[in-house]
Formats: sequence, structure tokens, C-alpha cells
Amino acid sequence: MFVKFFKVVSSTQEEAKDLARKGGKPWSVIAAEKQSQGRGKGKSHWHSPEGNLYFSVVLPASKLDDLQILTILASFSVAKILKEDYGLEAMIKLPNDVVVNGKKICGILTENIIMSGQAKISVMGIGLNTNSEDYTADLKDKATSIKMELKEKVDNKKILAKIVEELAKQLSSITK
Amino acid sequence: MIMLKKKIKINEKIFDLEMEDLKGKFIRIEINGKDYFFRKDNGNVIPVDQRQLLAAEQEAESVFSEVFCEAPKNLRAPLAGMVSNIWAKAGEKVVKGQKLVTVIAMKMENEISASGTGKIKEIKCQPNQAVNKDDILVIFE
Repeated sequence: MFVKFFKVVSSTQEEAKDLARKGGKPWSVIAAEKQSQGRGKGKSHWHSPEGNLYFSVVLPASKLDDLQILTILASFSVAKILKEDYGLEAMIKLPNDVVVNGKKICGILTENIIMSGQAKISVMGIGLNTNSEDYTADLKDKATSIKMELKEKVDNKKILAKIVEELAKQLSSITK
Repeated sequence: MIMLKKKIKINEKIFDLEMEDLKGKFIRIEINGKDYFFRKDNGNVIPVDQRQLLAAEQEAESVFSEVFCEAPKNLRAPLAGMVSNIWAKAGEKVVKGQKLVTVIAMKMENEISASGTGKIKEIKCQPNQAVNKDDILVIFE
């Protein structure tokens, strides 16, 4: 697995799309601990303070139906890892968010570039609040992190590898 | 469109010559099976180096696709969803790969690009409109 890890990047999603356009191989990952222009669906901003895990994965060429299912399965994968490895009661807010104690801990955004009815480039971005210690007043009741829940620092590289491995497993199971 | 096709004799040597107009912007001249390209520019013709243009990646690709690629078919929604952005307008000339419409489905953003070079006749959708799979989004001339 090729991973380019940045301390700070404007948007892992834009970096990954650029990498894919230049021929980056499937399962290449652009990751960062801080994004200056992280974004969610549409024009919405994804609050990306330092210490969390933000990454985007170049996906292999897949059917659009499979990619839709994969977005949901990605939420499932993250929730599964949070429960099994960290003991958190993670719930999925379909199709693309994971919440813990009613607060968002992870968001997923899949983007496809489609030409002649086929996805030529597909990139999945995942923002996981791992090591945030506090949030501003407007987000305090809406967002949480693994560290805020467990009072323990998380190894971002370790959890990243686990999620990407799980994603690859899930995609191969639906494309068989 | 072939403008000229004939044999010419220069110093006792015969040359097969063919001249073709490429969409009014370029001229292809074939001499004994080898192609030479020229760009029309205010009454002048400027030689175009194919390798240089190809090496100029995106820009060169756009120029060449404009000349050689098929016109795009009408743009259809590849899946059901909501139109979030329209990146082109009626009357605009677009090139292969140019982003035209974004459709969001199940929180997945789908940037739908032109399959060829052509001129947009009509945009058949608008932002926040729900579309079904195979609905026409853009009609080309």
C-alpha cells in the first residue's frame, strides 16, 4: 500500500484525485494530520484540526453500483474497527457517517469522475476524529473523537492501515 | 473534408498530395503517406509539431481531441440522484473530459464529463433537480 503522509495538506481528496489523474495506482493513499481546506459533501467544510486522521484512497475501477455500496460499507468498516479495537459503541448514520454517543466521529465522501457512463477515477475520502481534545462551542455537541471518548492517544498510521485493509476486503466481497 | 487530392511532379519525382481541412481550424497535408499538420491563424498557416503538442499534456490533448475525437453523445445521468452543479452552459464548446454536471447520489459525488468534443445545444437539468438513471442532462448539437 502506497501512503503519502502529510503533516498538513489543503485537501487529501484533491491531492488523491490529482494523483489518480497522473496514473496513481489503486489503493494509493494520501493522508494528513491537518487539512487547511478539508471538505465534506458539496461545498460544505469539514473541520480538520491537527491530530486527527484525514485520508483519501484511490479506488480501483469499479461499477457505480458497487461504489455506492462501498460508501456504506466504509461506514460499516470504520464502526467495526472502532468497536472491535477501541471498544466504542459506534453507530452508522446512513449512508456515510459514524457517530459515537450521538456525536459525529467520522465522515466519508466518495467522488467519481465519470465519462461515457463509466467511473474513470474514484476517490474515497475519510475524516476520522482520532486525537482532537476539544471542539469549538458550535461543534461541542455535534462532534467527538476517540481520544475524547477514551482519554487515550491514537496511532493514526495504525488505524489508517486497518481501515484501508478492511475497505479492500469489502470491495472484493461485493465485486466477486 | 478533403480539399485537394492530386499527384504533382517536382524534378521528375512524383508526389501524392492530399490536403484536408480539419473543422476549419487545422489543415492536414499528406505527402506520400506522411501527415503534416498546420494551424490556421488569421489567414496564415502555422506548422504544428504533433510531438510537441502531445507532450504539452492537457492542453495538447484538448487541441487534438477537438480535431480528432468523435462528437459527444447526449449526456445522460449514470445513476439516480440530485444535480448539485452545472459547470457549462448552452452554446459553449466543450472538449473531451471537461466537467459538465455533478450529480450526488447516496452522498457520492459524481462529476460527469464530456465523452468527446462538441457544442452544447441545451442543458436539460438544473441544480437541486432529482434525476433518474439515463435521464438526459445535456444535449449536444
